[in-house]
Amino acid sequence: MNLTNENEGQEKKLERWLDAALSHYIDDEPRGGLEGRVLATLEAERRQREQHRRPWRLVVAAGVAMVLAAAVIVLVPWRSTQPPVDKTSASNATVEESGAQVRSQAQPPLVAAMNMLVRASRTLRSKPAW
Amino acid sequence: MTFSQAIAEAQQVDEVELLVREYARFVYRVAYSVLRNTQDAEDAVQETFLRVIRHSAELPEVRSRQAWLARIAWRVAVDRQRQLAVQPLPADEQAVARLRDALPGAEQQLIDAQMISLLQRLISSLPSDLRDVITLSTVEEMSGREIAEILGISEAGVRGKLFRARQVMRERLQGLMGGGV
Repeated sequence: MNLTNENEGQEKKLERWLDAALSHYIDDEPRGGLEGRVLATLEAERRQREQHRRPWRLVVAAGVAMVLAAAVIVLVPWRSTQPPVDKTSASNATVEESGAQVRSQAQPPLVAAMNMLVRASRTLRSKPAW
Repeated sequence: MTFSQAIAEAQQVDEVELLVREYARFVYRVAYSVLRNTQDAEDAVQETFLRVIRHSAELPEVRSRQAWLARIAWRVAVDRQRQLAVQPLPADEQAVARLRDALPGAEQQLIDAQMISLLQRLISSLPSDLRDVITLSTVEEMSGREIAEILGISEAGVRGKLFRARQVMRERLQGLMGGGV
């Protein structure tokens, strides 16, 4: 009985020691100005990401310019090879049909170039901020 | 960058700054509980908030920012601990002898660096699941629910492991002292 009481007493004392020791386990404090140092690091990281983003924007802008230039290069010679509209035709309907035919045939390259421009600008807008 | 993107980015910047000012020291304590070194813990704080920036889009959906930050800090600290060379702990015979001699007295007065080193050895010797729970429990701001969330176990599991961890540490202390208290 005495041994049991002694053991229980020892256990309780060790429990109290554990409580006290665990409550002091993280007594260490960081050096002053921790928040400022962290914010400075985050700001540096943000600037670095911004610098990495700029070249990509230039690449996309250059790509868009090339697409437009290609569209112009394709369109201008193509238009110059089209037969002129027959203006001496007696029928207005025929002239209108010819004009419509020329316009519909002229559209695809220009429409294709515009579509490429729209897609490129959407790609530029969809790039993440970070 | 469009105007709306710039606004969103500025808002995220403000939110992260608020998190730093409010929780940097808490994050430090979580990291220190694992790393036990001021410089390593501060490096872990830096890395934690860098990860916060990378995942700042998740912020609006976070229920408890403290628990979210604690989870990130815990993972950063554990990863860093694996990379660092294991520092041998000082021998604890002297600490055990002091504890044996002085335990009948005021336990609170015994808590100095040597005793903390002894406690650190006891914690390090635990199985990893018990060690993680007891380590996180030393961060006083941490609730049982938050510890459970970080470790992916139930709150009842946290309580059970805490009980078991203390039991094991007590038994090992008794063994070290030879039952002579």
